[in-house]
Amino acid sequence: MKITIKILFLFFSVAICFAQVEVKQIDKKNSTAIYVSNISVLEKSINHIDSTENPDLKWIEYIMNDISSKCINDLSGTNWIHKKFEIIDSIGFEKEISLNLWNIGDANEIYWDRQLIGKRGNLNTNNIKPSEPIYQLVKIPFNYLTIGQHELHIKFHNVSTDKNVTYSSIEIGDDRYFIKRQIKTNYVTIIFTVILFGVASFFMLMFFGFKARLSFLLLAVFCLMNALKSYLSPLWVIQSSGVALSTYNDYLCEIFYTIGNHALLAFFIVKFDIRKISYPLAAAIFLSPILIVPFDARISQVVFFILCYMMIFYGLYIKKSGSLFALSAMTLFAAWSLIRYFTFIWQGYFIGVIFFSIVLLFEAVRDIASQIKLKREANLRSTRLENELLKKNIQPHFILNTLTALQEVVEQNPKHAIKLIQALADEFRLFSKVSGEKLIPISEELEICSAHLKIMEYRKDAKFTLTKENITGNELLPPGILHTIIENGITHGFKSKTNGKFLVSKEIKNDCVIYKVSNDGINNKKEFNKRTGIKYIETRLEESFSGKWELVSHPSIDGWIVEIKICDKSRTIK
Amino acid sequence: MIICIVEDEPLIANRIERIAKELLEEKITKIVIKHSLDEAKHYLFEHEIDLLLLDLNLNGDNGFELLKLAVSGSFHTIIISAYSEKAIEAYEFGVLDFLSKPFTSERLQKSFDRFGNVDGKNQFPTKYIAVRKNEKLILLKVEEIIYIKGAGIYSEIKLKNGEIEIHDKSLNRLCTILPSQFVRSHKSYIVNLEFVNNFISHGGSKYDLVLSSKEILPVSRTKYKELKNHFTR
Repeated sequence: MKITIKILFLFFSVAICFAQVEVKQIDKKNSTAIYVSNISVLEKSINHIDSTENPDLKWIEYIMNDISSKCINDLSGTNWIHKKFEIIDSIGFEKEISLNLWNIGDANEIYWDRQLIGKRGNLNTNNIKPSEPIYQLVKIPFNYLTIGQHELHIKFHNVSTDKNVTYSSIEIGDDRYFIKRQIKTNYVTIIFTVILFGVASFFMLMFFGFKARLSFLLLAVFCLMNALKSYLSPLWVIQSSGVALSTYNDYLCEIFYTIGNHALLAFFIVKFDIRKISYPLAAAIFLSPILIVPFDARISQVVFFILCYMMIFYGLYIKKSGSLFALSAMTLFAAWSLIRYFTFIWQGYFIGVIFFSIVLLFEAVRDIASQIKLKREANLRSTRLENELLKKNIQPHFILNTLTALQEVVEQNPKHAIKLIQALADEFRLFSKVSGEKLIPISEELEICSAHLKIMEYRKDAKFTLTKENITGNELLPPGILHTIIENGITHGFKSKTNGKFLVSKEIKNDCVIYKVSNDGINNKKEFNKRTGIKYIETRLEESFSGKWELVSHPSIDGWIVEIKICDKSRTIK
Repeated sequence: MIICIVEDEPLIANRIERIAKELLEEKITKIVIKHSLDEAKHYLFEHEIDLLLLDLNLNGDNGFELLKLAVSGSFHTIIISAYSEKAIEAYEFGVLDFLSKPFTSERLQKSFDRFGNVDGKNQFPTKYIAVRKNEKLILLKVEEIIYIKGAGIYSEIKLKNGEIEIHDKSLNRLCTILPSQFVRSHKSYIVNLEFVNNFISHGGSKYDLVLSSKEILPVSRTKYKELKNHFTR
């Protein structure tokens, strides 16, 4: 089973890697890619970045190293990219040539042959906000694509060098190629969105269908938030009349992301019971994203990971079940999220979320399966006990002996026979009433005992009395216990024609209740533990008061006492 | 007929006594009621009885020990028990009959009928004969008994391995509880037909049995024909 899981994961990761590779076929080193054969970058073309902060149009040309994306993102403030192209052959009508920019500045202006053909944001304000990278598809008007040399100047502004995504690229080529490629990327994004929605629904299903566990709800929220974030991510930009329209909504994404993180922190708090350590601590952890994000989103994310890990390690320390699962899930999440800083798999974050959720989903399902199994076993045990109780009542020894005695009474003393039959019926009726319960009020148990004693009076030709001391009647006990003890008491303590007194009393010591059943019969040396029915009593006590009970018996001054001690306050009173 | 009833519940004991008296009337010389076999043991040690009616809880481990003790006696034993699943096992030890509780007087009558019936065979053949030897009880496997010889009020049981054990029951009583391969071949012998090889004729309708152990036992004239039939079958 474990090997299958590992193989599945391996397959998963490899598959996603391939999908990524297929989508982006960009040469990282040369950040200028060309997708039309008639255009070539001039050999001696001037590729450089002008690092002066002069916002004016400055056509300073000098030779520099190749532009690399790293250079672009290392510069804060306003800078220029200059490139020269030569068109060596006429470009047919059917081709629509565009520039495809990725992650060039938080705001930019694009000039072809010194004409503004596209822009992002507004470079002229003082208040440029840092933005997520987007694709800009900027169409180059057909009449600008004459044979000869052309210039491309891009003015861009980086608010800071501290970007999440450091990769940039400039491509020139056929519209359709870029669009198709973007669609493919969107497919992947849509797949992620669908998977995350699916996982979220699964968690919701489990929440409503199986057990309304808060952790399911929180994980569902986490997946849902990330699904929404993923849905908003397709970075499809249409350039039209100089305004970039994007389906990328920074603000909403940020909100979803933060809510998702809150949900995940809450999930760990609930899972590892952090509230038990201290409420303020739990509250602080839960609120941390919303407190830190306004200051620095990056730090918020780091803090988020650290807090998650701290809680997981705490869980491992207290040996909480499922901690190992949480650890592996979190590590997968972190690993995939970090990958986007080192490679072009910028969707690593979402892949991480998916892996994370699936591992936790697996753990949740396994947990539920084992809970169902335990419940079934408990039910089975309960049914078996119920069965035993009923069997006890109709077991040969008791009923057949009683019926044989009844045969005699019917012939000798019909009036008594009626009474004996009534007592027998009472006992049966009471037994079937209580046999399905785990706990019954002691008053009902004592009724059964009285009926039983009445029957035994006839059979043994003796008088039995049952008195109670300090019993209110509401005390809860498993059914059949006192009955078994009294039955045993009669069998082993009284020969025929000997009268007997039974006393049931209750004593409260510290936090425990002690029920005593005493009789004034002879002490039978037969070992108490081996007597029939003792196992039944022990199983019933264990079922309702797991581990918190004690059963002892010993001789007393004038007879025999059986004591049941129960130390479970919550369940002893109705 | 002296009957001993061992029953701890007074009502049931009364019932057995009453019905027995109704059914057997003057055949009964004496009925004694004891409330446990331990009590009865003392009585049985001092007195002879013909029939023991024993209420046993055969569900405990003690039950069968008491049963074996009872069947080793010179008297017949009828078991009365609430646990009818144990009936077959009880028969294997050679009880006269097994009565389930509750019982009717008709059923009890059937048991009493068995008492005098030497030929009546049980549905479930006896497999073991319990013998009291030196304060201990030993079990003899019925299939290892070659023959039994009457010796006064006792019987001598001859086993396959040559050993002889003494049983308190008379030949008559043993006949009643032994399975069908045991035949009363002579007034002093019960023989296990499995061990009979052939007959020897001495002329004048005097016959002898030859056993596989090479021993020779006499055969009564009246029994000879019957035995021949058994043998050739």
